[in-house]
Amino acid sequence: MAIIIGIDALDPEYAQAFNCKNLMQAHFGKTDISGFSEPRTVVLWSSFLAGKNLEKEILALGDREMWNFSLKPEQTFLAKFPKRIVVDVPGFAYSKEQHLLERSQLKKFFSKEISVEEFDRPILEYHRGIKQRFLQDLEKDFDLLFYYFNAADVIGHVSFGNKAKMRLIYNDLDELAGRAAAKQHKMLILSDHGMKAVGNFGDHASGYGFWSTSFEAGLHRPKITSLRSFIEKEML
Amino acid sequence: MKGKKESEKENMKIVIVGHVDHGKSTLIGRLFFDTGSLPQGKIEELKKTCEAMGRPLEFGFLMDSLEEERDQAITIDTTQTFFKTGKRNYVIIDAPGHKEFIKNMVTGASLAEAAILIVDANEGIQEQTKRHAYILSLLGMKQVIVVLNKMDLVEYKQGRFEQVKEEMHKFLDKIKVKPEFTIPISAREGDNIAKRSKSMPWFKGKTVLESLDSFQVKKREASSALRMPVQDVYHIGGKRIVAGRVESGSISVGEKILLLPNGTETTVKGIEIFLKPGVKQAFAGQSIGITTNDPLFIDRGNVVCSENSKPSVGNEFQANLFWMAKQPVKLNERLSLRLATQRIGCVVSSIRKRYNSSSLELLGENAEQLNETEVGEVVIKADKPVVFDDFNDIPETGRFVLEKGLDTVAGGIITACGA
Repeated sequence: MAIIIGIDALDPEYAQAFNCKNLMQAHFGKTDISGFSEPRTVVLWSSFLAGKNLEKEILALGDREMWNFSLKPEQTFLAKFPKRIVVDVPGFAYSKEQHLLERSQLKKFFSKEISVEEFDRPILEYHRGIKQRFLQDLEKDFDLLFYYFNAADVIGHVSFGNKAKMRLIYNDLDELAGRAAAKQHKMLILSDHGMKAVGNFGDHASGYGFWSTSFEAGLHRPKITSLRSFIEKEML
Repeated sequence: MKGKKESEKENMKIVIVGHVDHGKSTLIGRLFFDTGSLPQGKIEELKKTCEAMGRPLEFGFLMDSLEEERDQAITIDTTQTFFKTGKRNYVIIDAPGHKEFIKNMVTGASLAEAAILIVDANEGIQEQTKRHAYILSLLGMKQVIVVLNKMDLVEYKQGRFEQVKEEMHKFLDKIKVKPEFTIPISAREGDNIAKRSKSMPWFKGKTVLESLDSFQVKKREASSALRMPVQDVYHIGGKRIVAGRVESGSISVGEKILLLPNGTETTVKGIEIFLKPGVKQAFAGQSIGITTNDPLFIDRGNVVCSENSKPSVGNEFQANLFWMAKQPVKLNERLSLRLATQRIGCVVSSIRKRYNSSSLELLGENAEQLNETEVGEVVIKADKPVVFDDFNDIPETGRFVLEKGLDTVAGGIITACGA
């Protein structure tokens, strides 16, 4: 049994600064995403799933359509896990409705139609709901449980400079990782890219993401596209 | 909070020590929150975030808001964090670990006047709790509050409070730390911090803020002997100004003074304090410059003293040493002694006894080395004469740190002159 927790924009520096021991697990480091022109969420998660750089193919769909991009299980390592539970992962099973809401919220916030609290509320409520589902699914019989959480990214875009708030988000994710770790399955925690503060706001950081494993994996600075073979070899 | 006018308020420096997981940040966050010392907008935003996430407000995280405020307010001294009561302003000295704490305290970078020792009532006393308590003892801290935190996790039971309190006091007795208050609290829930706890009606003592307010700020002890370690010598407007901080006693214009270790005598011609002309006398805690009637050969590390109450000057002294580095210290290993502004090469020439700083168990006599977190009764031998006092007479010039390269590796107090 294996668990993958995908966390959008989990930044290694904040994970360390906030002492998120469960997120860092036994081994952790940065991934290499230097082969991508920009750190784009759908591109990175899809490339991770497929084990190859799909940037060109996905960008050709255009900015709006790229979120509809969806891989088939047999194009990914997921096919190797017949009893899988995969929730919300971009490029495979993403909630389009939620993504549209987030885009609309960001637009409203930056055009000053809503306050930061009004921006945060639906994002955090969604996070709360999906966390609840994750904890329930954790009790089920599976060979792979793969969940994706994006509160660190969406809230981070508006409040990455607000350390108290970001510590709350990271702490919440750390607790969730702690609950998963208690099951003692092989676990990989992965972020697509890091984040950097721009005043109080946050922007995707280029060049690196975050990985951690519950077991000795021999990973140093793996390319995100090399993790497919790693999962197939080490986590099956 | 009502009380004195802002301009009349005094400052008190405090430090909060204890095991890393026993709730230090939460207590600091709560102290700031309950005294209204946090930026209001940030708290509201954080509260709403917590509500949306279905979590209680995390007081430990409030410190992040403060740090951001300080980072943005470049005119504010970034090393100091204030909270206020009706009586005075409190400055919490940041002591992320015992190394920083000892170094700051001993070098005088930030001398705390009171300490709060925090213990998790649920988990009980840990080794780190005892070590930090030992450091308070080592530094001669007199105004100490013990708080037994996380009482909410032990259902606010008086029995548990009394049990941990007794155990803590037993240890503190052994190291001669006498806490003036021992308070059951829940920093997370706000019990007995600013307000009396409704969940612990059995506790009749003072709250944390009331206890702090009952302490005294460091007095200008004009009666004690003058010690002014020299920080530097400046030439300004034709004057030769000897700069330093009065660590003990007072200094007056016209007073006969002695410069040690070389023993030169002279009299004070003038006292210079920035933007304060015509100063005739200065007291402990003040940073000043003096001019003298005779030209002197003087340098950083010299100590200005009163003629009638001299410190010891010598190459050797006995000390209690708290070793902090991972690598043990071996006899006659090269180190640097830092005492006030003096920095002199030295060795530990004898380790007469070594103790476990947590259990206080005697580990050996006439030892060859002292290991991490052990305490030793040692003899320090310096390359040149050192100006010092017995710690019990004048703590400011009776404590020191040892450095190895750029690292602070030990803190100590002087117990006797000579070997």
